[in-house]
Amino acid sequence: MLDGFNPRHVRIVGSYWMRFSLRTGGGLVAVLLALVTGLTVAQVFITPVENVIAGAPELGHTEDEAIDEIGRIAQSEQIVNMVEWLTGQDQSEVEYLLGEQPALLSVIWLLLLVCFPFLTALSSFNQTAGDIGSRGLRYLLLRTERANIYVGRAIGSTLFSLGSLLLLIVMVALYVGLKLRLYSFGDVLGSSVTACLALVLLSLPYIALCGWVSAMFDSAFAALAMCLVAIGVPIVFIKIADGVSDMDLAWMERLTPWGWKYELLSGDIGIRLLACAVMLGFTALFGALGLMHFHRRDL
Amino acid sequence: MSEAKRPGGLTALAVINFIFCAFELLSALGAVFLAVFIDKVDEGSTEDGNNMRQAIEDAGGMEWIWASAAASSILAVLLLMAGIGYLQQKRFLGRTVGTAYALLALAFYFTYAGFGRFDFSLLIDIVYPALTLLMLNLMFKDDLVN
Repeated sequence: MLDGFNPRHVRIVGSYWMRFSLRTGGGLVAVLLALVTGLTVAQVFITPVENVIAGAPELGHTEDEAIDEIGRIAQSEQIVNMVEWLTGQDQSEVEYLLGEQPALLSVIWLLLLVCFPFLTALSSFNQTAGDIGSRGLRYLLLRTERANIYVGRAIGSTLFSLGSLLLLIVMVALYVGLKLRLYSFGDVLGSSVTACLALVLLSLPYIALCGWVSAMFDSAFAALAMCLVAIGVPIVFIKIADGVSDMDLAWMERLTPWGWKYELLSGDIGIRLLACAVMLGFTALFGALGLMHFHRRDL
Repeated sequence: MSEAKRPGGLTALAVINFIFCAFELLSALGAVFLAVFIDKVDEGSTEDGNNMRQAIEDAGGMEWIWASAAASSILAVLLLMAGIGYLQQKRFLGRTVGTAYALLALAFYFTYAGFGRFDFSLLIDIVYPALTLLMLNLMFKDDLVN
């Protein structure tokens, strides 16, 4: 399966793929959508907070009082219950995210964790499908082996996703840290680095899954549709089955990377490391299956 | 350069340009409609009218509304011209006009921010002009040569 594997070839294929991704319409739209979706998610939470702080002097309060009030609201029972319901995590985890971590950033990262698998699909669905369809890979195969193409493009897709993710997190963190000044710089930095790692780790299995799906099809559009189906349908199916069944089927989510995503932000370092290992495990599984399929298929 | 060699990214930029052009036109139309509407409401005639008039004064007055309408109209024209330029891979209509759009849009948003209106939505607004500026002058500069 890894016959002729050459790290130098992988690096060349990966760096070319990153550049090529930006030149294609899909890559450009993926960057734009990742930034606009991520910033819109952040805006949903940041704008009300900003309005409360800006409106405080008119109501006879100082900005510091408004910030204290926002902190109190973030740890109120209603907000804790809402986040508990959204994430399905126990109260101690939610209290860690809203109390010990910057609450505003925590809720933004939680929602980004929900959006990111789908955004990842937009940037990684066409790792091989388009070139299989156009028969363009035949020319590349004269110069390198299949494993180098597959792994190189997967790494290129990962770095491409990482670029837009970093840009998004830096923009949100700088705004919250420098403009809102709700939290100390250290808290914002710590929370942002953790979120960045969590989002990267969550993206990895989905990039590998999209690579596998991409190797199955010879049409980029079919690959995109099937990537979104492969990511979304199991989640919807499990949610519906859990809702209509008398049995507790929520554990089935653990059979997908989706079921482990919130643990990537856990306050318990053991749970967090377990979630990281699970994500890497899923990545290895999907990557190996994709590589096996790509190795055998007619190009 | 032949039509077939146009990168997919340029086609995508053109389509996005046309979509944003429509948004800018709607924004300009909305601003003109608001300005005309407020002009027709007599001062003190209704509470809603007075509230709206006050809200506009707080937001910078009628001059600001007309300036927004003018800026949106100019940006819409530039977006349309640049979009056509991207499709035809024209140096002036594509790269020059596209860059002019991006710089003007950024200047407009930074001016807006400079008047104390810097909020989070501004970050979303500057994403596309900034991306356009980078893409046209780094990624697609050798494709816009006709």
